Amino acid sequence: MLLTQDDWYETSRDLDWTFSYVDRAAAFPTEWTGAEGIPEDAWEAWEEPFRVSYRDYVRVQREKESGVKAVSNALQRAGSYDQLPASHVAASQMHMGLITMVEYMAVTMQSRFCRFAPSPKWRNLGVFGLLDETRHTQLSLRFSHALLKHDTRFDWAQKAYHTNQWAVVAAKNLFDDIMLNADCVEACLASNLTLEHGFSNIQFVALASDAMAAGDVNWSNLLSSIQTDEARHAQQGFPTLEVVMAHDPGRAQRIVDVAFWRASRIFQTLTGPAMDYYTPLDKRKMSYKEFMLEWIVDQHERVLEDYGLKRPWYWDDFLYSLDNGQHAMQLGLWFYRPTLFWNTSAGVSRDERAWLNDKYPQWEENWGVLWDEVIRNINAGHIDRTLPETLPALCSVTQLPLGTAMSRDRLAPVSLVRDGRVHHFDSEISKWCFEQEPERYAGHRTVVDRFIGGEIQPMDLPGALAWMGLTPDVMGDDTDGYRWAREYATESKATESKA
Amino acid sequence: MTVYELDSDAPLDPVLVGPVLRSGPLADAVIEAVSDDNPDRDVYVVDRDDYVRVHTPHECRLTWRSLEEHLGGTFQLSALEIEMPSFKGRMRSRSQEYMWFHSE
Ligand SMILES: [Fe+2]
Ligand SMILES: [Fe+2]
Repeated sequence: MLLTQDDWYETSRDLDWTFSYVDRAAAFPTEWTGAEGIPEDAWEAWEEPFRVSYRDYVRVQREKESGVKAVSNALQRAGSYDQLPASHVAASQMHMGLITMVEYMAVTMQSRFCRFAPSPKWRNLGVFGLLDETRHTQLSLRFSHALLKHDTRFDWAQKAYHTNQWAVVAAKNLFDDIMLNADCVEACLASNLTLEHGFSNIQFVALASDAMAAGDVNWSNLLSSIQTDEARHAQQGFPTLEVVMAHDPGRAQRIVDVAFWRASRIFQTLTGPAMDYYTPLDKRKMSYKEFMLEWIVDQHERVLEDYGLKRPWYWDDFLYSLDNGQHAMQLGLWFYRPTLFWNTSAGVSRDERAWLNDKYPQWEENWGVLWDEVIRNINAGHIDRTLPETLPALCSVTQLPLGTAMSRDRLAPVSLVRDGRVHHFDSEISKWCFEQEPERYAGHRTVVDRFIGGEIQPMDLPGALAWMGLTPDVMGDDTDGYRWAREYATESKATESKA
Repeated sequence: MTVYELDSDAPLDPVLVGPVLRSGPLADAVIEAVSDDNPDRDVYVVDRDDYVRVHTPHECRLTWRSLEEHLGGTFQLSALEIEMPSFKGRMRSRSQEYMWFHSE
C-alpha cells in the first residue's frame, strides 16, 4: 500500500541530535533560542499548523513562480506601466524602497530559526521560510529592475537601506529590531505572528486589491503571490506562542504588545496613505481603517484570543489612532515631500475630501483645516510655504514625527529622562514600549539627534537631503503638479464675487 | 445550509473561519467544496473582486475529494496554497483535508 504524506510526515521533520561532546546549552545558547525559563521538553508540543514537505514545496513554489513570471512578462510586453495613474505608481515605489530589503532581512531571520530554534520541527520549517524570503527579495528586485527604465526611483528597491532617508531609518529600526536583533522566540512572536499573520495582509492582500482595481495587475499579482508564502510560514508563530503561553505568558503578551504598536505605526505610514490618498478615488475598495478592522481586528486579534492573549492594554488608543494617525502621516509626507524618494499624492480634491469625511467623520475638523492652509498657499503662488525648512522632532522608539500618532488635539508632549538624555515619544504607548527595555532603545539616535550632533553638514535642509541620499531625480514632489488645488481657487473666487 | 454572499464592506462576524483566496476558478470550486464539506453550516462568501473570503462559523472543512469533484480533475490540497494568500482562524492541514477553526 502506498504511504500518504500523513503516514511519514511526523518521522521526517524532527531529526535531532543527542550531543555527546558539546553541552546542549553551548550548541543552543538561550541568547539565540530565546527559550530561557522554558523546559526543554516543552518544545515537543510544538506542532506546525500548516504542514509542508520538501517535495510539495518545490512543486508548489515552481508553479507560483511561473505564474508570476507569465503575468509580468505579458504585461511588460503590453506596456501596461505607462497607463498607470501616477499616484498609484508612487505607492509601488514606496513599497519597493521600504520593503524589498526587509524581505532580505527576513532571510537572515529564518536562517537563524534553521540553526537555533529550540525545536527541530521549527528548524525544519525555517528552511522553507528562508527559501520563501529569498524568493520575495528576488521577485521585488526583478520587478523594480524591469521598471528602472521608466523611473530611477525603482533603484531604491536596492538602494534605500544603504541610505539615511528618514522613513527608511524608521522602518529599518523596527525590522532590525524584530528580525535581526531578536532571539528566535521573540523574532517569531514579533515577526511571524504579529507582522506576517497580521499586518502584512494589509499591504500584500488588501492594498494588492486596490492595486488590481487601479490596473496594476503586475504588482498586485506579485504582492498576493508573496503573501501565499507568508500565510504558510507565518504559522510558525502559533506553536511558539502556545509553548511560551504555557511557561511565560507575561513575556508573550509583552512581546506581542510592543510589536503590535510598532508595526501599526509603520503600516500607518506606508499602507495608510497609499490606501486613503494615493489609490485613485474610483478604485478604492475600502478605507485603511476598514481594512484594518477586517484584517487586524476581526481576523488577527481573534486568533490571538484563542491562545489566551489579551488585547493590548492600549486598545482604545490604538482604535483612536486608526482614525487619525495615517492622516497625520499623510500631511507630513506631503509637506516633507523633498525628503522622500517617491512622489506624493495630496489626495484632498473636493471629491476625495468628501470620501475622507464619509469614512472618517472627524477628518475635516482634525485635518481638513490644515489642508486648507496648504491650499491657500498653493493658490496664492506660495509653494515655498508648503515646503519644510527644518526637520520635525522624532520619537525615540518609532523614529516617526511627534504628533503623528493621534489627532492634532492630542499633542501633549510625552518624554522621559534617562542618563541625562531626554527621550521624546509620539505617544504614551511608545513611551511604554521604551520602558519595557530601556537599554534596548536608549542608544538609538534619531535623525534629529544626528543633526544636532553635527553629523549632517551643512546643517540645513539641503545638507539633510544630501545626507539622506536624496538626489534631484528621485526627490518627491506632488504627483499631480498641484493641479488638484485649482478647483478650490475658482470656488473661493465664486463665493467672493457673490458676497 | 445556505451560501450567503455578504455585502462587500460589511464587518465580518468574528466567529467566521476559513480561507481567503485570489479570485478565479479555484476560489469558485472552493466555495462549492466548502458547502459540501460543511453540510451543517452556512457558508459566507465575501467577494472583494481581487480576493474572496470563504467562511463558515466556528469550523470550516475542506476536503481534497470535494475539491477535485468541483474542479473536475486531479488536484492536491497542497496546491491550494498557490491561490491562498491568507485565511481566518487556526489551521490544521492533512493531505486529504484542511480545517480552519477557533477552539473557543
Ligand atoms: Fe516575505
Ligand atoms: Fe515572511
